[in-house]
Amino acid sequence: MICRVVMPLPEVKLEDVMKKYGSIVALDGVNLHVADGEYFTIVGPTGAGKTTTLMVIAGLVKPDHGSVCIDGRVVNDVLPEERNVGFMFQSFDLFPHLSVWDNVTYGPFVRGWNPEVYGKSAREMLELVHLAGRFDAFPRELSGGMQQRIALVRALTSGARILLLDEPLGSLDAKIRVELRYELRSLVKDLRLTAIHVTHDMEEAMIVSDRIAILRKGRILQVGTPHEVYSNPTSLFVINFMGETNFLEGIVKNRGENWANIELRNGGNVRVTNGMMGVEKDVVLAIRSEDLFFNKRRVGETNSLSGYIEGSKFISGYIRYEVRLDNGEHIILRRLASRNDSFKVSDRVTVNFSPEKVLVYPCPEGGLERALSPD
Amino acid sequence: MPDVKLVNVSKRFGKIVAVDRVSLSVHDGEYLTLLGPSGCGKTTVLRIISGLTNPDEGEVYVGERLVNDVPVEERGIGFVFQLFAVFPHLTVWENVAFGPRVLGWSTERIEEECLRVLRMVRLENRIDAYPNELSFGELQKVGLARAIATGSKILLLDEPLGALDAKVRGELRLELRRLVKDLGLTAIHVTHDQEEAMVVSDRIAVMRKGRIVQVDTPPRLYSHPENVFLVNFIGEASFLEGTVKNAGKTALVVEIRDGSIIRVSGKSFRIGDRVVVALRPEYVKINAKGNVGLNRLHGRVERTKFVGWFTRVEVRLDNGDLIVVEEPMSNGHDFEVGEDLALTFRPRDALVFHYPEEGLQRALSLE
Amino acid sequence: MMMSGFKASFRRTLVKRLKNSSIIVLPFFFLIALMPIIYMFSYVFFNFGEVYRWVFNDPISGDARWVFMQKSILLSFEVATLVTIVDIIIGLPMAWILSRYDFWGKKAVDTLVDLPLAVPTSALGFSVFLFWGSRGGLASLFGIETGLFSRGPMMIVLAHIAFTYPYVVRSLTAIIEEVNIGYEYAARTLGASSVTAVRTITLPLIKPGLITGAILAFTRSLGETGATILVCGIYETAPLVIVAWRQLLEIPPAAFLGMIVVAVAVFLLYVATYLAERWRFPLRKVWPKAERFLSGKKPRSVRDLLSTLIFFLLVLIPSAFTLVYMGTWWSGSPFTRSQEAGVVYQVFLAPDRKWLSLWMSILTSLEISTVVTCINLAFGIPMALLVVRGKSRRLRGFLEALLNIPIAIPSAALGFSAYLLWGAKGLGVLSPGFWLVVLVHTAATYPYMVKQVASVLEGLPPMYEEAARTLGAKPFSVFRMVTLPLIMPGILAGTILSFTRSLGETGATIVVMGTIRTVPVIVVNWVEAMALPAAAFASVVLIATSYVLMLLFRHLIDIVVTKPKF
Repeated sequence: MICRVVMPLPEVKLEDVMKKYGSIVALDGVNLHVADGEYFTIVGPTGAGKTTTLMVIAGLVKPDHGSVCIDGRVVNDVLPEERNVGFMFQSFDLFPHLSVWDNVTYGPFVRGWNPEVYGKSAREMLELVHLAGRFDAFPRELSGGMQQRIALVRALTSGARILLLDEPLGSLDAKIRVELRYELRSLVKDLRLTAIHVTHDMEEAMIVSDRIAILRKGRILQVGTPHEVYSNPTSLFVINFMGETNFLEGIVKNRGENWANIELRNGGNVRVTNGMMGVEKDVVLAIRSEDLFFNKRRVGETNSLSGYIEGSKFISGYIRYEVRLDNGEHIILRRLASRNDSFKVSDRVTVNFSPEKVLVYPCPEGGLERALSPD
Repeated sequence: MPDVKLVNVSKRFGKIVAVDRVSLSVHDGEYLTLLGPSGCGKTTVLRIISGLTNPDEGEVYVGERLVNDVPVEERGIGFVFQLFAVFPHLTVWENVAFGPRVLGWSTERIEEECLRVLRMVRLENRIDAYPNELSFGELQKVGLARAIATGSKILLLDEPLGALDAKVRGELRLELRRLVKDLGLTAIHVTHDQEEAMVVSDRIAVMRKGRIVQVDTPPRLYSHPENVFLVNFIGEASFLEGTVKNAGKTALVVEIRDGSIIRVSGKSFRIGDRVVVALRPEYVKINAKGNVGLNRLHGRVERTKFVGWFTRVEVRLDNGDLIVVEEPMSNGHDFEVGEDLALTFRPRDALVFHYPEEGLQRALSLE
Repeated sequence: MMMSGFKASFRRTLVKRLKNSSIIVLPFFFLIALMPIIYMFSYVFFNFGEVYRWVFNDPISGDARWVFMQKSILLSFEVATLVTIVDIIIGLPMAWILSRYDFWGKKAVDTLVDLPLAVPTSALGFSVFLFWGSRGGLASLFGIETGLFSRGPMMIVLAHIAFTYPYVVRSLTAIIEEVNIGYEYAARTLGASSVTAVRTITLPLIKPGLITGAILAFTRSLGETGATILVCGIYETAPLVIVAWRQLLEIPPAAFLGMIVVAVAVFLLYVATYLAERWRFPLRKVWPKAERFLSGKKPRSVRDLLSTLIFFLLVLIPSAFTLVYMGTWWSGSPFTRSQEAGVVYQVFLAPDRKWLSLWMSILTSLEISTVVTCINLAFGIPMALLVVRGKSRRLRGFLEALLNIPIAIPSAALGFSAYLLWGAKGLGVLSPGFWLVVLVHTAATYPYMVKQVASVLEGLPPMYEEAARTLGAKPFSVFRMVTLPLIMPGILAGTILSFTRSLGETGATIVVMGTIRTVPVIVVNWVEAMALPAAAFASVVLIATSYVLMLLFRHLIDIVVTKPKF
């Protein structure tokens, strides 16, 4: 088995980290705490500062302000080569002039370790990813998926306990990406590493992570388990980043202790039980497309909007419906496909949803579009 | 009358056969996607249609016209590139007006048409911007507007969304289909992303190693894939290997590993045939109250993962096989690793295939 | 302006024939560059009896000429080898600074590194001589009466280092910038100190650039004439011997030496490249502690400081020293106060009217260089298209190899072979004078134009031109509206190179100039006549012209360059 010395698992902490490139603010006061053995993902649109965050942790970029702590000690002045943090780059960056074996053993080699000792563990790791037979191949002879696995092994052969992954699956085909997600998480968990993974793909983040942080314009908007982020997104941007969400603007008509009635701008009434706002306040309601369901008959007056099906699309096990409501608004609805689906285009339907599933946010100052845009 | 037709088209690059006797008909106004893993030849087929690459064999028809000897610039087919190919030295406007200018349109006509097209992709406020000021999503819209500004009726798209963020990709692919349908264009779209293919297409042609494997509408491709590769490539599936113990007209009794028996539907199988049974995650139910006729397998939860509107549960059956199940959140139950449970599925929800000659691993491989 | 109109219409007509450009372009290249060389070889073979007598069996000197040839070739080689080694050692750190560091004043240092390129070689040689070898140079700091070094091999080496340094630094910078920095990052996260990462990862990856830079430096040094003439003293390198024998009208031995020199240079070019590519960097050992130490802040600052100092001392100051000299000697000798020794007198007031000769030569030089550059543009752009986009891979490789020949061989040999072919000993159609100079300059600078345009073209992804075609543009429109604007930086770079190299060309010019004079030749003449202050003035004029032109074009490039988003 792989040499394992029993020692406390490291943790990573960023406090108030800022980084500017000229006039562009890459990181704007980032606070992060990744616990021992955690698979932590940072999600955000391109340009949000995800790669910069990883580079700061690795020591390849010096922050203008703030502290980076690894395993309890401040490492701001520690050189990258001394942090012993494994890094998997977006384009893998396997050394093109070295064979797979030389790539994979580069870390121990460069630290002057005993070749017999590290040779054994390197071989074991290659077997773990089913690539032991390709040790004398060169990177250009390997497929994308194989290169990714080699890059992973290379990052770990010096015994790093923390693994940083910069869009590790980005350059792979969609199908391979989906398969390798699970493998990645399994491997990290089996080896009991701490992983910090960066991606723009929320679906990927949900699958691989223990906890997710959403990053936008250099700031962390929310941190939580996939479940927490999914059920309680704290901002419009966060909920919009996950799957398809419907946004309805309206105004609070009246409220009680744990309920409120919202009148939609274009007509219709919605009852909510979350996010209490004052009366007469402008709000934006968010309902996930999977939280809506159909009925052919009218069921009730509140949380029941009628309209007709404008479009329907079958997508791998579920169907996506576009519904044009009577009040003119456009709604997306998702439901698992089942053999007895009888909803067709131009059918009249009633769209219902439960009050608990509606999320309420104050109407953003710059307007809805600005609040949802990546920059 | 098909708008685009390929008859027995082949193309080699040195020793590698990129396209292997491909025949395809794309109907007028249809949105067809060429779907397949990297290296399957889909981009080469697209380039042959446009004229950027010449086939070694076979005929290419556009409309009723044989175009093998017609140069690119005379085919009148719009092309959208993966890396946008937006001219860096020209503004958004100049890019979109490039085609019309080259065709010698009048200034009034150019202005009218280009503005119309830019409004369709909602870039009418960015006409003076240079490409290096735009986001990737905006760049792709420029590429799109530019390709349709000349009024071509056929649009070719080479992995148009590949370089974009997941979120932008999701939004743009809907816009793409809407645009194509509103304008009544015939579109041929190349991608490796099956979800994207399902969203945009009227029909999908799946390619693998230079050949077309199946052409069908998205729902049919999903429900009636012709081989194991397709059932795995489109959507997801768990596989059980077994042997046919009894074969009726459409009912099969299959013995899987460890002697368990399942009933599935399948035609033209004989007793003793080695088969592979594919189960899609959404068709397997956990601990459903017993109904006669349902297959029942016992196992233990190996892994569970919350994925949003469902939980993905990996169940290790008693016989050693692994089944993936998707449980909708609405069922409320939280599964624990190690929990015992029973999986059920209906015979007609399983897909059965002959065991592939080259072995299951190779048949499923994406490389 | 008439010139630009001329350029534009010339280009338009030729570009129209883009489809059949190979019919024009290939014979053109063959004619001006390859045929003269082939002719020189055949001249030696067909007149071997005569050649043999002159070289090995002269009635007066016996085989003295052969001995002399050997010595000169050996000297050329020794100098070139030393220069190349020194260039790589001192150039690599500087290239590193320029590509990897960011600091205030970086752009200034960047332009300064290019300064020797703008200084025509004879002016540079003169400047080096003044700095190291004259009374008013570095020696004056130490109170030494004569110069620190006398003319000879040492000074030749110093002069050659000065002008080959920018070539080496530029090729190295280009390739360092091209290497994906991600590899170094990966190496560092794996535990390699910066020195180890560079040694084991970056250096092997920039090997092609190192080889190109080294070969460039070697062949430039081997073939250099203008500066060498001024600093060689009694020693003579091979090109100098060719020039000397040509002037003495001892044609057969000159041809023989020319042939040897070309053969050696071509041999080197191919064999050296082949061998260098085979050679692998030693990667078997690591010295973690030592390399970590060397990566530290102090050693790094020391190294950087040292590189900068060496750059100033060996390259920059010697190159620009003429200015200082001219300033000191402006109105008279700083030692004797004699007015007749001053720049003003010698150039403007002396009865031989040097200012007039200078003015005429400036006009001549500008005329020649303009014509040469126009020809290079007209024939160079299509050739670049052929080399990069040509249908046959064999042809492309072949052409690329051939294009290296005119720049690998000494310009004196190139000039001499043209003199042989076109002059009285050959076809007899062109005698030494304006057009022969134009021909020879074109042959020497054409490959630079082609290479610059080709390199930009190679970096241009085909998708832009493909997109234009799908939008209905015919091949010529594609070239005009898409390709040309996008390769403009390469064209401008080629123009600068072509113009300044032609402006500064000395060795070949002396061989074929007949009665006309270019400025570099004037400088050589005045130095030989010991009118140093006048020569300094002419040099400064030459340097100023080149530098101004270079700045102009560089500025143009900055305006024109449009970088795509990714």
